[in-house]
Amino acid sequence: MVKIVALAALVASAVVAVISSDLLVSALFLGLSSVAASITYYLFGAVQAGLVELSVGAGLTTILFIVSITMSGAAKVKTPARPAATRAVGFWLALTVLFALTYSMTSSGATSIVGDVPRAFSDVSPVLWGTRIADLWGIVFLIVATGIGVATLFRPGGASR
Amino acid sequence: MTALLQVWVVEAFSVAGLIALGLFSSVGNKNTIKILMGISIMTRGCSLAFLVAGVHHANLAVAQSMIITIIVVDAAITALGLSMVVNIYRQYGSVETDKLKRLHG
Repeated sequence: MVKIVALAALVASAVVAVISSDLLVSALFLGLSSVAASITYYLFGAVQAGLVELSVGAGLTTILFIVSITMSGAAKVKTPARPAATRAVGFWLALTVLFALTYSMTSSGATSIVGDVPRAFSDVSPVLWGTRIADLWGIVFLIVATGIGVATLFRPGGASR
Repeated sequence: MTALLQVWVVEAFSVAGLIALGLFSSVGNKNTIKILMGISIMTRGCSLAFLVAGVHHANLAVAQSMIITIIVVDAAITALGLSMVVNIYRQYGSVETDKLKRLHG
């Protein structure tokens, strides 16, 4: 039951983040959905992934969004829309998904999402530092490249200099 | 079997809901910050899909390593995208995609 509540909180906070016209509120609810995601990961047995999500997703990304919104001075979404048809398709798609989710959560047989998580398989270190070490070097390269890109874009005058 | 179907439905619709929400936010908005938020929500749905697959196939370690990779890549995309947004604001005075017409023919 707790897992269902965590999943519902994840989806609900993401909905608020999407539909809110105030960008700061959207950023805060995006961080809240990150917290719900990390709780979901923990409940599913993915403890390390939950920790990374909590620190990077809920911490770093939220701060980046708030700083950027403050720097750009665009606290409100000024123009509402793509064409109405595009928004309507997206809206009804999301609404259908949400109603189906609510129905399946309230129907019988869905009180437990997974059984006991096999804890023996949940240690990520041998995979991350062993099998996927090449991917890890890719991630390091990506982080360095991102740092250089952000430093370039954030300098006075931006990328035009 | 019925219980298994219900379990699958709950997880599948959570994943699909997050991806649909992110898609809706990315496609339906002209504000670049909202578009980046949509991308972030979509990657969260993908992370949840990896988690559910890892749990059902009893291979949570690989799923966790993939999720960590996704989170790091998402943070890198967000950081770079937001610095581009700030740069766009400095150049154009707005973060709406409508204003970015310098390369129009």
